[in-house]
Amino acid sequence: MKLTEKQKQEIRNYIINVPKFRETYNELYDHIINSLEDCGEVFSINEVIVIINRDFGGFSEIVNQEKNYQIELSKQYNRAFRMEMVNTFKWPSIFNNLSVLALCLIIYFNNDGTPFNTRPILLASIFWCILIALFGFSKIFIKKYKHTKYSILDNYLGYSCSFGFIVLNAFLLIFLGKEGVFEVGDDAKLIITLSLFFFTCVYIRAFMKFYNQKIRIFAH
Amino acid sequence: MLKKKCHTNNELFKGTLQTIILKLLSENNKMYGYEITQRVKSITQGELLIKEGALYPALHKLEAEGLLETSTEIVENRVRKYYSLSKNGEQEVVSKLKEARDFIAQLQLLLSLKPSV
Repeated sequence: MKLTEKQKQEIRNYIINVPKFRETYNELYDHIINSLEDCGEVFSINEVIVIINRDFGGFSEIVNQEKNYQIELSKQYNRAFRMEMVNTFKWPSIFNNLSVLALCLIIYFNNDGTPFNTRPILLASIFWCILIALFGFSKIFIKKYKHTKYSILDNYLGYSCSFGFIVLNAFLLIFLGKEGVFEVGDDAKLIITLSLFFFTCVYIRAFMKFYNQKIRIFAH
Repeated sequence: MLKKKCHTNNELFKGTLQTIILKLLSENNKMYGYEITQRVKSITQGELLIKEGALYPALHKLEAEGLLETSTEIVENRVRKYYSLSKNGEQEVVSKLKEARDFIAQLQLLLSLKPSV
């Protein structure tokens, strides 16, 4: 039985709100259409209900499976992102890290005793983290505009692009802010700021590599 | 997991679904979910039917483990997700098949069955 566009729309309307993510929705929709077109009976929405209940175990089971799928995929993306972080410490990327580390050490050891103005370094770290977050979220919203549903990958992209900004803010609130939870000395503040700068550089390079090499692959 | 028309104990098929999927994908370049269910149905002449509620979680697990790769294509205005074996999956299919054959051989010994030719 070949389904008409109106019948397909009816199916879409019936299942659209069940899966949270695009991956599940596309797979479910394609499966239902294939199943209906193969069965050769006259179309009725009851047939869709039967397929969902009999073959998939109902909407609740689909939602449960989707949650598990999200957890499994997020683990995979997490592993890939962590590997990119680790890879910045491997040849030849380690040269970039060593350059940044050398810069941090020069700043630290050239300190002549007067309090070092950490603000420019801190602002540079914050600026880059905000830029990465904006980049990630703009990509997510452009995709959402095109597809109406978020994908699991979008969800992870949102997490990974805001990770640096969240960590940086946590350090600001706890150690570096004027009303921080802990009061730290100027020397300790400088060490924390330089460490944050170093790890921000690592994070940004890892994120860009992760986005360019992995996310584009995962997206297909 | 797999439903059989004559209601054979489904426990018998537990653990074989991943092997079946990997084997089918090793013989075909890429397949989508519905196609896998239909292929199993046609090979077993309708005796064994893979339940979708078990197939998709198994596919997703294999994908997350890096044994399968996915790609999408637009077919009749809808997105179709294809699964294919990754490099790791190609290696895994060999060991999974060996594992399954060894198990069947042991089972035949235990149950004193004659191997089918």
